[in-house]
Amino acid sequence: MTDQEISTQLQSIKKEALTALSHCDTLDLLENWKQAYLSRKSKFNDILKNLGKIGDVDTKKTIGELANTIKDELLKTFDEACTTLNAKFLNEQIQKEAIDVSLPGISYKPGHYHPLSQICQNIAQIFSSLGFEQVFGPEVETNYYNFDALNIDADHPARDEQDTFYTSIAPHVLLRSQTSTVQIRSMEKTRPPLKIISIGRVYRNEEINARKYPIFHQVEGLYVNSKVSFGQLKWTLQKFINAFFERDLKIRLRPDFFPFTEPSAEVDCECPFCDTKGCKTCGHKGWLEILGCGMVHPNVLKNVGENYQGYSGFAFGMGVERLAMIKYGIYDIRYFYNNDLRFIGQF
Amino acid sequence: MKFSYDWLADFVDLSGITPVELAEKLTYHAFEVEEVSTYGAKIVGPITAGKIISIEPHPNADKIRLTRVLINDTDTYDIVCGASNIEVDQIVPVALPGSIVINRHDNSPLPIKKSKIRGADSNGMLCSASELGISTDNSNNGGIYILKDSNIKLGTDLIDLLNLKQDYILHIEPRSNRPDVLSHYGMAREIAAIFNLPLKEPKTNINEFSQFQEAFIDLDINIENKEDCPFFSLCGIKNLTDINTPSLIRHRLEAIGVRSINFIVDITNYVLHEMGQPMHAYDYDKLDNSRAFLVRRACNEETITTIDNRLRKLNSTNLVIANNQKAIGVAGIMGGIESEISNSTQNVILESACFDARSVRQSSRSLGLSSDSSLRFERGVIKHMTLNSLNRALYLILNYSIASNPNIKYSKVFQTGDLNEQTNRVSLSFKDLDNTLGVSIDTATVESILNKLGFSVIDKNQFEISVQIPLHRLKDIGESIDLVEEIARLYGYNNIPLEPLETIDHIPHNQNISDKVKENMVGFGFNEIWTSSLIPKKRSRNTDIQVLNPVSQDHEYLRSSLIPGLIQAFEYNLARQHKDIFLFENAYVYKHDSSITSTTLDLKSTGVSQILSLAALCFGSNERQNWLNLSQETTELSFFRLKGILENILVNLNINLNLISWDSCDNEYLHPTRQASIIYNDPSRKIKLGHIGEIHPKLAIDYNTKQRLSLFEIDLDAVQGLIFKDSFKSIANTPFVNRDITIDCDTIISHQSIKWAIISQNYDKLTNLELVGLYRPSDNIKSLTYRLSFQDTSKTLLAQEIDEIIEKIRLNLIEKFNVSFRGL
Ligand SMILES: [Zn+2]
Repeated sequence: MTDQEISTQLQSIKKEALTALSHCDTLDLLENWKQAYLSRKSKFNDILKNLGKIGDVDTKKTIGELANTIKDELLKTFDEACTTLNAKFLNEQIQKEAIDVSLPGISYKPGHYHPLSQICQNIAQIFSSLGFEQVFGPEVETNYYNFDALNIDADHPARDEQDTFYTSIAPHVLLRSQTSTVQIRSMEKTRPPLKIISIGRVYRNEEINARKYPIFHQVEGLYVNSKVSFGQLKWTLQKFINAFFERDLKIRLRPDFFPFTEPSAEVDCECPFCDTKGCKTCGHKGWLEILGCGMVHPNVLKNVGENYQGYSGFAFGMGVERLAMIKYGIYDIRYFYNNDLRFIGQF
Repeated sequence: MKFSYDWLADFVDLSGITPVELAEKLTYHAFEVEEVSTYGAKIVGPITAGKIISIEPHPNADKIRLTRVLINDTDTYDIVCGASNIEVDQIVPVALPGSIVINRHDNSPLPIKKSKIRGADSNGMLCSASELGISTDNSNNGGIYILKDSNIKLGTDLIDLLNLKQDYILHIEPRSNRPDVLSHYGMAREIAAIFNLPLKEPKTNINEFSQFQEAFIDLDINIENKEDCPFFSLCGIKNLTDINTPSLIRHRLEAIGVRSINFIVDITNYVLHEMGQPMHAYDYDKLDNSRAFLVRRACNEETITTIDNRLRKLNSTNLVIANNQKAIGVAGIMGGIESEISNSTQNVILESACFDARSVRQSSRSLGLSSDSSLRFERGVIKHMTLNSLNRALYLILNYSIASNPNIKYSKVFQTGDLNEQTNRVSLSFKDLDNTLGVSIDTATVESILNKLGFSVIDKNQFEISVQIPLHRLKDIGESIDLVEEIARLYGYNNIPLEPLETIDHIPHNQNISDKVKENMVGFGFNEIWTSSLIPKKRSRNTDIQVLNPVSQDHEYLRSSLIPGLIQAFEYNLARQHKDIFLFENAYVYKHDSSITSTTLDLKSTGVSQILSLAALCFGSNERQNWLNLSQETTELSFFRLKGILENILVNLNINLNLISWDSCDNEYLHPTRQASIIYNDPSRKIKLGHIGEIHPKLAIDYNTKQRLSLFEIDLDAVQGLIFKDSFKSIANTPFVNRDITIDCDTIISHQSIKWAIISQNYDKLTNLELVGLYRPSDNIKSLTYRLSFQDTSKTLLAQEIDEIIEKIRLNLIEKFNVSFRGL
């Protein structure tokens, strides 16, 4: 074969190869094409194998260069075809897999905390940051802890059966009517100083209506140290109220009477919902009644014994349901105990 | 309790103090004023007493007439009047031009001016009672109010005379420790102290009427027990005539919500609300004409009909006033109907006494009867007011009677008992005061506050002050802290500066277990509920603690499990169309140790343990509506879904699940073959943590649904005691190998027993075992596939080593359960 013939042959193989390549529309066909035109067993290679028989160095070189050029060109075109085809297939897959992204996600339905849980956690957290340790006390209590030790004398109206639930266990065993019982129990257990908060359930014999339920929850706070003042009590409550309503609110105190504190006060704060202009939540008064408080009565400290002689303290108490009702604008206490999912689901 | 602003002003000069200012000061320094309301309409003068001197027909109308009215010695007014009850010479209220009365049709203000009515001049208006805003008992509806007092001077300003002023009512609930302010005089005393104003005494000087005193009666008083009644006094009045209650008295009583009855009863009620001392009056002619009065306990079987016309059975807790042996009144609570005062009563015995608070309270409870009178005695009346009040009542009766009744007579006061009271002194250290309040109050201010409140200073030095307690404060003042409170409130709670707490001395420990389980349960899609810890008998167990005085049958027992509350909440929501219900509660349950009886219990113990419990209920699926239709519900899914969640909770609480066994259980409300008790086992102990199961099919029938309902309850206090945090184990880099084994065995052999049989051998290279497949080739055979993970932390395991372990496992299981291994 002349070098001219070889050259022509190469050109025709190239042409044939390119034509064949343009018809390859699957990756398998591409692979077959590569076997046919570029592998060791291909026609193209057969020609290159015969190059060695050409005696003329220049011709050998020219043909060799031509063959390499064509080989490179075929390889390049092959790579391009592969890339194009891969891109096409990927694109086809992508199109085929289109989803309606607006369909609902598949997951668990979210659970919800009871609103009273959230309020209790919130209160505990605020007082914890003020250094009050959370403690718990029993709900089934004795006359001693619920009344006697708290300086509530035998004639006090609160001791009446009409207000307190008594049990079948023994005449002195009752359901606590206030969390102040925890004051005594904590002081009996721990030496001063003492700084505690207790959130728990209390019971009162009251007919059920929108405002009253025979069970409800109270927060009790107690701080006893060598020199505790009414001014510190005011500071503590001011901090709590600001944190609870997440706003700085003015507070005002009114004299009140509790057997276990003296002086005793009722604390109001500015209504955060109407800026004291008056609204439904505050009963158009502009102020919200938040809690009762006072300085621990000396008789209470006396009742817990020697460890507390010479100490003074303050105590405060508030209703959890009431705070929740204020915070969420709930107007009927019974919602808390119906456990309607349409209610709980809102919190 | 209602207080009349106008009435309070009798005892303290309120000029320049508005009712709202008064309410505010009272609220911040003494007692909360819950509300200030108005009483009566706003009537504006001139409204005077005028005499009708002629009545002529109207030329142009039938129903109205022309009157001429004399309003002083000389001036007459022509006034058109439509009322039919007027006659010449009557004295009537005349509203002159410029005055404002009440439009009786719609209660709007009605200004009076000169006008022409059907062509006739009318220069004012003759007024009816309703046009003046007064209520009357002579119901000549729409008729002119005829002034009965013929001595009234023409031209008298009726605004004052008839007390037509608008009044303000302060609603105050005085505290239980302050019986001294349950009266207008008492409240005025508090107001005088707050505003630093002088207190005016009510008029009680009956010597003004000494010419009406006569010894027409002689009464004999005996008190069976001085503790029940330390003081008792009576006074007779004779020749009373039927007079109307003076409008001032009637108006004020009505303003505070007390119905006017008749002159004498109104006076006793007036004195009660003015002085705080309950009074009683007997119609002397209806008594047995006996001079013997005895204060004694009632006999059993004794009865009395009280003035509310109810026959009351008395017993020895009731103190009574007896006349001629017969009970005529229940002491301090209510009088008897037989001696009740009527309009025709002529002769009266007035009673003012001091009854023991506890005795009246017990008596009132035993009769189920309370009154304005008993409420005051129960709180404790001020002893020295007893006689003052009797004199006050006498003074008022005489003062209003003598003008029309010159024959009235009163007797001397008959009394038994002692009015003297031991007063005490209290000392206060200035340093204690300053320390307690956190503010330094100078000694002059302290002294001035105490003086204003009626404390007289006995002794004073730079460290402390000693004062004598005023008689009206003996009930609530006794120790120095009581003085601190008095000073603090008059100084003003709101004037005491805030003082920061010096240190934050507590750093909270770990999140408490409740917060943690709640977070987990909510995360698993459960809704938290809070149920009543008082439950009805039908949901209780027979060992539950009973409440003796329940508010209703629905709240009679203290729960010992959270399950009844969960089921109730479930039923509530199922009835409201919820399809998937996932609920949990984390709260206390209460258990009574029945070995402790009331006799073995000391007074500080209850014998009750309060246990923190966690219970959950799942019904339906907690997945969102699954539009891909991936899930296949089987009847077992409900149980195992809940069990899986419980296992996760336990793992999150650091409980080793390999130490938990799920054993047989026989809870009556759970499905007999789908329930388990949850037992913690370690070599030294077995602790029951709770139980889990599907609800009993017989209960589920009520729900009329095919969906399954599963429940668990665990004792978190027990769980908390088992929490064990393992120390860190280093991570091995050698590969692990998984091998699956499939075992065929009898269906009664539990997964748990196979698992434990393998684990208990402690093969040291076996690191994990997991059930990955279960199917039932036939009714009594099940096939279990376990994936076993092997690892040697120091080297790569050889297949041969693993084969050896699996062979051991095979032999062990064959021996124990007669199982067969597939493929081996
Ligand atoms: Zn408001």
